[in-house]
Amino acid sequence: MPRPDAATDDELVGRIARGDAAALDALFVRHRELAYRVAYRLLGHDADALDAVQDGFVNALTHLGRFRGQSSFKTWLLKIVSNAALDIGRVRQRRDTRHADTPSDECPWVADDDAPPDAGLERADLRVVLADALAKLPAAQRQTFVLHVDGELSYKDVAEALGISIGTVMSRLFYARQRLKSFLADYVCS
Amino acid sequence: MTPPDARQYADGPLDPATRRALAPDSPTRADWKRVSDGIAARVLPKHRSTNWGRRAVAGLAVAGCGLIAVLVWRGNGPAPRATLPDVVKIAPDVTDSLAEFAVLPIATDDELQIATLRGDWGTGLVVGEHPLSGELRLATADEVTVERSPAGTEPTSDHGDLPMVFGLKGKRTGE
Repeated sequence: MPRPDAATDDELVGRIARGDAAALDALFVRHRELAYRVAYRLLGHDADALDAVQDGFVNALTHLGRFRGQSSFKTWLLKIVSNAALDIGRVRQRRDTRHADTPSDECPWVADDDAPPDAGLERADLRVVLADALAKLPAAQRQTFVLHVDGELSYKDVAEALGISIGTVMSRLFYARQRLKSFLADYVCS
Repeated sequence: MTPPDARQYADGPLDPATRRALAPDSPTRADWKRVSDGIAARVLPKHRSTNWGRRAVAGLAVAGCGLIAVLVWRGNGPAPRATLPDVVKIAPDVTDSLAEFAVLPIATDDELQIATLRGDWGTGLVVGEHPLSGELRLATADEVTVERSPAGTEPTSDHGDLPMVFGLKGKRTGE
């Protein structure tokens, strides 16, 4: 039997079904960062994103009957994590982060060669700006866009994950990009 | 000035440097541990007692009861059922020569992106299941009864611009 960190996802899933805790840990470590990134981008809140990751892993592993043979485990997992994130977002209405982390009126992107760059502040502000812009997209566009850009899924994988055609994926991505650019333009500093 | 990284995000896919710049801070080890424990508690089977002596006695007791039940049932139980056929027909076959083709398909809500609506579109757009999915068939003269009409109105096979009456799907007379 291969070591858990060398086993394929399918092998780990099989071992988890037989109660192998080490296999579960290996599968979790392998996919947790990507799952968290997707959930965070959909929710804009770290604690909510962790809840979505937990719910997503549990549901992905306890509903394997609907998964087998249809896509990779990663695609299956990200689909369920993103659905869990949207559910949590609907319930909690993105209440915390967007109110607590509203960016200041000052423009953090104005180039200032004399001042030392504060990368941490800039990064945090960028995340808030992106969270605000993403929150304005319809849920279907947001989920499609985040699965492709943050989840690193191909058009085909996104189509399989969401049960839609590749043409619909491309259409949603097109409109999502247009809207995001429009929303981000509101942050132009005068 | 628009934040350049944010614009790149909208354009996607991201190069590794931009992805790192925009990525959320990773949760702490304690956070990951809490999530991992939560998953394990809900996914893995519960830890079982390792008191093998008690488990062996309980197992033997269950097996004994099972054996007794089987013996009693074979002596007094009902006669075995007749073997059922592998396939049971529950409805007659209905042949639809166009079953695999969608006639006049209507877009689903997933396939529809409405940018703008101009003019009088009423109060909605119909999406989803086609109300007349499958084969569209003209009714035959036998299926149409004219109860009251202007003099001279009769069923005709000459389409022209006349209104048409569609028959029920799968109910074709004369076949």
